[in-house]
Amino acid sequence: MIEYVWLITVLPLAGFIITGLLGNKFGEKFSGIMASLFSAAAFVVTAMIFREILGKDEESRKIIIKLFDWIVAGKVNAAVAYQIDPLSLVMALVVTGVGSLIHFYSIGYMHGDSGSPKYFAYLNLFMFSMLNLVLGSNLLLMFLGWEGVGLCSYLLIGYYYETKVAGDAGKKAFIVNRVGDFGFLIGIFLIIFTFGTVDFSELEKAVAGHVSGEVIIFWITLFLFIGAAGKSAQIPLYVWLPDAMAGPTPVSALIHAATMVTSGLYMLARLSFLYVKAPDVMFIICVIGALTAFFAATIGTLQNDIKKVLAYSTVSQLGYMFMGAGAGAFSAGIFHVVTHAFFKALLFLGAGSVIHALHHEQDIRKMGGLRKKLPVTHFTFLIGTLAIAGTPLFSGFFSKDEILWKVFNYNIFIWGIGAVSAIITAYYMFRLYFVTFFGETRFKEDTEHKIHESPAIMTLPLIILAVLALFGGFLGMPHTLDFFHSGNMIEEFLHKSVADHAVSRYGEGVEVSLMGVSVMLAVAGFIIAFIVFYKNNGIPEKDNQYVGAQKVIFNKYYIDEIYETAFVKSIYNFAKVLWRLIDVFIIDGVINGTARILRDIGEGLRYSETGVVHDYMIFMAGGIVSFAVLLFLLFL
Amino acid sequence: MVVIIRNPLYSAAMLVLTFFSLAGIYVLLNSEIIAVLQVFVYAGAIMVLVTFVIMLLNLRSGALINKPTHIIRSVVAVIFSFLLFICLISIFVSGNQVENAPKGVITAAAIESEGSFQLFSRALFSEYLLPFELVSLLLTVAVIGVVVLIRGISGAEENKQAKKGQGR
Amino acid sequence: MPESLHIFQITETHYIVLSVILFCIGTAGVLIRRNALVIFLCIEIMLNAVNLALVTFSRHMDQNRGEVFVFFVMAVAAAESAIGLSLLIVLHRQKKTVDVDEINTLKG
Repeated sequence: MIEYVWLITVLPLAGFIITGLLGNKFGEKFSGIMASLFSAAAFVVTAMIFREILGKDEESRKIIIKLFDWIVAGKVNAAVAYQIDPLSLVMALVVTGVGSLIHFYSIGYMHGDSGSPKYFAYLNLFMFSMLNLVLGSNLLLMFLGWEGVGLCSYLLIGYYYETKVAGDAGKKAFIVNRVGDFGFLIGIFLIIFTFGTVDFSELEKAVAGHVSGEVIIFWITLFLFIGAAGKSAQIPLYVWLPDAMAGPTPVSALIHAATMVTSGLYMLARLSFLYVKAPDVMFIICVIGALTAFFAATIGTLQNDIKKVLAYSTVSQLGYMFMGAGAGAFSAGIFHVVTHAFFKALLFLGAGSVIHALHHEQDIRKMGGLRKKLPVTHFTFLIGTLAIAGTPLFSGFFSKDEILWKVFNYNIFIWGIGAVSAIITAYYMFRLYFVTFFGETRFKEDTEHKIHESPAIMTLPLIILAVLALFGGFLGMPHTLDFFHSGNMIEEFLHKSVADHAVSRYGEGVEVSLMGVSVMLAVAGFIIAFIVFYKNNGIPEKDNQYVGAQKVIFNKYYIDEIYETAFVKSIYNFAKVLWRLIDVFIIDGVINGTARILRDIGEGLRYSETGVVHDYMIFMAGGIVSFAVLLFLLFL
Repeated sequence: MVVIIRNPLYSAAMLVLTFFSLAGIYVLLNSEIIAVLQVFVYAGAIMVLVTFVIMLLNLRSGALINKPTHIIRSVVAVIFSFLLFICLISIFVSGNQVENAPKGVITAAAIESEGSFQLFSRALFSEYLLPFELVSLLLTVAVIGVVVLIRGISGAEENKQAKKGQGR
Repeated sequence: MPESLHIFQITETHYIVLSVILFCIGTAGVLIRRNALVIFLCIEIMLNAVNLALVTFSRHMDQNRGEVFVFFVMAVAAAESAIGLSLLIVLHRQKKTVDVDEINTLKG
């Protein structure tokens, strides 16, 4: 099956083409089923290849299948070739697996929406791009996928294009992404300039000869990280993610929770051999990751839109991943990617189920008491919340703890920031849970009896994801808790493909006690949320009742406003000047001027049409005479 | 003379004189046939037609006095003609081109022996037979055209009078 | 009078010059006169000028091609004069005048 790795990317592409061309003709059911089937087929192929790879020993787990030469220019020889190794397989499994579940879920969620065929086509296109991103064997193919997912993100965020909110959100996402992509491109150019290749294998060999801490590597990794920050919503390029919630909820689940936003981290892991040679940049990444985690978590505590809370939660969790990567624990970061995909997709889809049941109500202040009305949703959402808070035995606990442990070994202060963020995470997640599902019903009377549990096609993926969120953690059992003697499967699996560089300063005892600390933090957050929201029913009222520090946090620290005045306005004005000057004055002037000149010439010539034969004859004679004069002058 | 005299009839008369003069020149050039044709066709047929038309339409010199000819146009016309004259003269009188033209077959000696008429008609009916036939076609067409033109007018007038008769 | 023999030899050049003079006179007439009939006469002058040139060249090159061509030119001139004159008559019937300056319906 390994030779057929290209099927993984081609199947969603075929789905995109078929759904795109025929979807409108055959309707939403056809599109939904087609797209989901193609996606699921890709998952099956990935799983089969995964099994084959498992059977091989560690050394021979990296296989590159080349399809054809793509760009051959000077030193750079980029082919369309896919690299099968543990890292890409893990990512591909997550993308195709969770992606397929979300496809099926969407069939139920998008039911009745007239633009569904377009939606499913874009979803498949997204899968194609993302899979190219994770399976590509060189930077250019990865960048192709990178841009592709950015495009699909724009298309899908702006899916409800008739509303200004969605259109603006799509544009914002694309533009902020662009800023990141610019950094990425500069990084690629520097790589080509320095190493002369974009192929990962060749790059790895070339980098091995360089010493750590070289200036050029510093800049390369820094620029590449700017790209990663754009895609993965780190400070300062995270602002697009909360706005991206304007898109349909399954889109938020797939793109902005499970897959696209993790591509930044994937890039870091893929180029880990390069990053370990740039310790300064690693430190910067770690710090930014931690700050992002903390910062976003604080904003999440006061948001009232169910999806916005989850969005900030995503930014926060991504911060964790980068924190871990910066500390050198790339496989831990990837592990958190996997578990986060499970529980965040679960949470988003659960939120989607709630929104769907309440007919597109998203304000949690208008929810409440849904526990009885939406049992499956409620139960799976609870599992997701427990997972993200870091409850022991749930998947989030293991992955988050792994990261915190490695960061503790790296720098205690950064660990401190991460630990505080953990409390806040537990707090706001349980706040969301309690306000949504408990308490008295606060929604409108007439909708009350229309609320029913979502159909099976939506609840089934929820259940599957819940199981994964619950038991997925056992993929990466730390050594200290090795009850099943399975070892840290994921870390060992990824061993050869990422360059884990984490230090190990403290012993096992510290690790265990650290785990205990994590548990206490999670419980603390839970208790605070419990008291405020369950016991005392402390539901936030109106938007403008916040004062002081709370007001600042509620307004997202006014970051959007700062960006607006600092960057957006000046660029907009500059563009306006350019428009007036060049477009209107010069280009239109030339074109209109040409037309005007021609018209004036015509008007002037009109007067020569006197209708008198003699005048015409004079003109004729004039022509002949001038010809004769010309000949005369020639023969002279 | 033709160009200057106001009265068209006198103009036509001058033209006839011109034609006869040209006929004489053709004789000097050893092409009697062209001379004869000139007299027949131009002086004979065409000028007679012109004279008929003048008489028919009652064209007089006085009818055109009310509006003087445009001075500018006349001046421009004269200038053009003068320029044309200069150019053409210079081209043709530059000497060598005229004298070094390729020589043909029908020398003066040949004409002496056979007569230009014979030589001419032999060429006309052998080498240039096709144009000859086409010209006859052309003349037929011309005749038909004239008939159509004139008939169209008189036909319309007959209809008009018929309608007037009915209206009364 | 023996002195008169010194004047000059009449070469082809003189005929050509005459042809050119006639042609230019005809052109001037076409452009200046207002009477349509006289314009027609001037056109005939131009045609004759060309005929003269043709015959001259034909004689000079010892061929009879030019003469045959002149034959055809005359035929064409005859046809053209027939139709032209009938057009003139029709014009006169419509407009009651043969002044070409009056015929400006195509104005604009």
